[in-house]
Amino acid sequence: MTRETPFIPRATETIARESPFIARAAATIMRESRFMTRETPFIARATATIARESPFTKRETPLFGGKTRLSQENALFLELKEASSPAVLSNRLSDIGFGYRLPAEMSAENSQIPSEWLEEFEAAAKRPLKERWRYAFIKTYKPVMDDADFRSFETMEEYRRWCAENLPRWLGYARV
Amino acid sequence: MRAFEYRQAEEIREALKHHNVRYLFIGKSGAILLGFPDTTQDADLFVDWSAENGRALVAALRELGFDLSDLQVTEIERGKDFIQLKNGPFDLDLKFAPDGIERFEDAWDRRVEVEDFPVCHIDDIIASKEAAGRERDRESLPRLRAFRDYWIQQPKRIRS
Repeated sequence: MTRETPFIPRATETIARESPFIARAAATIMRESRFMTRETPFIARATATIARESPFTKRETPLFGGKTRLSQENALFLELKEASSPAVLSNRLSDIGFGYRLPAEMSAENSQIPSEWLEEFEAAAKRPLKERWRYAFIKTYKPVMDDADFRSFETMEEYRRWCAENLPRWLGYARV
Repeated sequence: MRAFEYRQAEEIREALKHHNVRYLFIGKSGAILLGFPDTTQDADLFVDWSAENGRALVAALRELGFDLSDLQVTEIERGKDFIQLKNGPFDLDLKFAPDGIERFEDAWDRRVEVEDFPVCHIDDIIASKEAAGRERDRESLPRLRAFRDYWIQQPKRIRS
């Protein structure tokens, strides 16, 4: 399990505990987790396994607030499987409200964010974009960097090298 | 020396839209658009490289008030990997091949629209900063990753 997926084990445990018929899905997710780096593919795999293995073919499933039948779930799985990226997948899942299925786990995940940062994120989310922008952009003079009107670099590597060789170290542009 | 104003961001959005430029906000300015509470100095744009898009970008930049020489026009249209503009109404960094992102098309598919601003997905912003490997990013990445965990859980209607 990677650093980026801490809520998945808790989520799958909760799913397995509350919905025995998808325990196998949870087991599959846990077994395959070492191949994953983001949480969204886990959810897609869970959906796939649930769709494939559920014995309640014609009954409402516990997913999506119990509003989705398995046939719809299968269609959804096909759509998710074709998602071009984890982000597209994540957005789609969010659209259909999947995120609401795991409130406890989501809260648990939030608890891993330092409270000071979480407060800042929540406060920022309440501000209009225009206000956020006003507070975000602060102009200060950066020696060397701000001394030319125009620069261009054939490659990013060339730019990084230029930064390392020309900018004061304290500006922080050097590579670690 | 004036800070980059929201009005100017709107001007970028309108001018680039008017000229049909394909681009995305990236870097910390992109993260700020997504809601990340932090500070930065200028805006970074990830621009799709094509001769047509380059020409459209030049037209948009001139409309915004950038005084571009013939050489600068050539380099923008050619799509050099990284171009810094400080000869206009605000500073702008143009990235045609940011670290950590394979293709513009991939980032475009993952983009988030925030009040009509096209913005790289937070995962792409983080990937780019991770790949850049700068000291300044090493300090800010833990907080940015925490923001990612927070942001990804928000319903889409709140995120965009």
